[in-house]
Amino acid sequence: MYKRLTRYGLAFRHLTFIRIVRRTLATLFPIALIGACSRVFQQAFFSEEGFIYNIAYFYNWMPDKVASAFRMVFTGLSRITFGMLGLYAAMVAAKYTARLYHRDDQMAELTGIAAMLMLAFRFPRSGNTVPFVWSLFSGDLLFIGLLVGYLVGLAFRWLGKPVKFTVHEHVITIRRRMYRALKIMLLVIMLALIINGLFNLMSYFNIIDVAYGSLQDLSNGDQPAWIKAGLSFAATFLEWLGMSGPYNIMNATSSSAINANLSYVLTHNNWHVPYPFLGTTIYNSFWTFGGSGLCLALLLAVAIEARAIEDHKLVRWNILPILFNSNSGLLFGAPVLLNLFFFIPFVLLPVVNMMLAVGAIALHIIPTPAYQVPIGTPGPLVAFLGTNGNWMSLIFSLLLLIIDVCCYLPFVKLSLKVENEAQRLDQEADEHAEA
Amino acid sequence: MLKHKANAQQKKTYRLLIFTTIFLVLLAIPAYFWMQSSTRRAEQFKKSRMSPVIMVPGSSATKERFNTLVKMLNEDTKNKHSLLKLEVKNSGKITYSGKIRRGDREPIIVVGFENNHDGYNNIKKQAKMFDSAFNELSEEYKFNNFKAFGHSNGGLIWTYWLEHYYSDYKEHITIKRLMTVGSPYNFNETSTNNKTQMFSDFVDNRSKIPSNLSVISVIGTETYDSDGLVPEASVQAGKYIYQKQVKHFTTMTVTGEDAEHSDLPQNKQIVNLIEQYIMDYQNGKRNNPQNKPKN
Repeated sequence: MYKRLTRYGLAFRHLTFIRIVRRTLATLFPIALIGACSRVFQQAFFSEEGFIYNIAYFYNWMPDKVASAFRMVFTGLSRITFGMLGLYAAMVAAKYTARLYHRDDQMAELTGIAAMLMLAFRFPRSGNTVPFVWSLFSGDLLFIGLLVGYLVGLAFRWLGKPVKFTVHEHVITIRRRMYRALKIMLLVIMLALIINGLFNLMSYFNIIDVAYGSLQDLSNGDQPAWIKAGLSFAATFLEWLGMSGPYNIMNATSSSAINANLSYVLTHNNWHVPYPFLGTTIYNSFWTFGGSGLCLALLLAVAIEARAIEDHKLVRWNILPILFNSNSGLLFGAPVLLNLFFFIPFVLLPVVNMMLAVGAIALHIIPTPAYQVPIGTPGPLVAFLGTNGNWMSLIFSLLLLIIDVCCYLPFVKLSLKVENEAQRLDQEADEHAEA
Repeated sequence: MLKHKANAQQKKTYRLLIFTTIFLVLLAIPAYFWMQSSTRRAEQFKKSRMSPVIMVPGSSATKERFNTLVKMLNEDTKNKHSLLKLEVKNSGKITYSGKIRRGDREPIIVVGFENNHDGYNNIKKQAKMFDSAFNELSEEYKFNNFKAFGHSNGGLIWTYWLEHYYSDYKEHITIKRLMTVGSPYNFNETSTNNKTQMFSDFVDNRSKIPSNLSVISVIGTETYDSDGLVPEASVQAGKYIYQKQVKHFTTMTVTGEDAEHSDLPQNKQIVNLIEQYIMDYQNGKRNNPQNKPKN
């Protein structure tokens, strides 16, 4: 059984697209980590709803101007790191795809960026608008970047000729390369232009906005827990794919039902709130230890199971952002994205958590968290603070965390094993090639 | 060899995890007390039964501007509204005179400014000064809703404040109604073709005005197009700010005796309008909701 799983795992990992994705994610890890950290500073430390900002009473001693200056700096940093991950991904993925087939990787890289920019370009209706759809570049739609990069690489594979990589390159060689790449580049950009034209037409008729709006309606936060569980399942699945963009459920922190609960607990001395199984509340309190997919549990499982120095470095670098629920560093570093082994726990474990929480609320073991907690509250504390310091909730959260770590362990073990096996095979192949 | 090295790594990681746990506990303690105190505060707001009327006078007027008006209001009711007057000095210091009687659910609070000059820049400054006064008031009395009244530039200060400062409070304080009297939204311009900077800013930021607010704009006229100081068209321009943004926007024109700009706050009819549309309690009874513009 274990052996067969390992074999499947190896086969999946050997798919060209997945190999490209793995290389790209590994390369982009530093950028994702910087993005994750700057998000923590931007949201938890310097935003007015932030966790540290509030519990350290920044508003009492830090001048508003200083806080907003910091917030601006870190917003900028998040924008150029996390906000541009899709663009970086297109570039790196194109490069690695071309290289895999011994094609001109540098030209592929350039073409990848150009194609991505072309796709995101919107013809401005008035003079002063920003012509790019910036969200297409963002880490929330990473999959698009990866796919574009991969396709550009493939274009070089089919239309280009193999090149020999030399250490030292003269201008004349670059020019020769350039002329060979020119046609492919033009073709790719033309293609991107056509697709872009369709997008532009769609946005002219507001099709995108309408579709987007109807998706947003689903996340308004008033659904009961079981519908929310289904929606969140879909959302986490998309996130695993690298597509968390169109359906961002973390947004819903205020709705009529949430407010009804809040005003009930503020005026009564008991916990019989009108909406005990409110999806958003339970989602926020028990689903997001360390960001979506219970990344805190994954991180701890890796810490327990891993032996290699890289894995431990990964854990140590990610502890701080994960503590404040910013998980993009781990998603790229582990990697979680498009990783078959983490698919099941990443997508299903949160649902289990949610059901356990609903059960515990139904049995009156814990109250429904009704108070709003600040942004970036460490996962295990969310339920504790959301119930205004109910100790049972804290214990329950910690228990859940332990269960989650235990559930992640076998998957981490399997993943590490396959990883070792793959590395061994690669090494053998390299030695074979050299010999 | 490899295994030994990995164990050293693991130890390092565990050490960091222990530190993180300690850090988490250290965070949890202040977080617990912060949560308790913010909940207590939210409870106080929620349970508060005070709903003051906050009045802002126009330019060149002081915090004493509405004394006559309050006296006239109190003549008609058994339960007298107490009157608290604040003045914000240019230094930022806030002085109080008068006081809110214990148990008064609908006190009247007047906020005046040492700098009471006209002009858009002064209105911005006054809105900021008003905000610091409002902040102190809300912390002190913890009301969760209030009614607003502004005469002349006072109405402009309210508008600026609603667009730029109210969002800090909207979670726990509701502004129920706003009445402006003779407020020149477009200063002295007689046509909206000539937009003043202030007016276009007001229109640009109108989306920040709360949508569940009811606004009543009262116009005084001595001649057919002015109250002697403010052109009627400038007051009417308010509709481009409030209409289609707030729940109800009503304009009313008052003529006859005391319809001159500075007499408006003492105008008997306007006093009636305030009683009818702004106050919650009349003669100690809850104002009949049917009397109000439906809200």
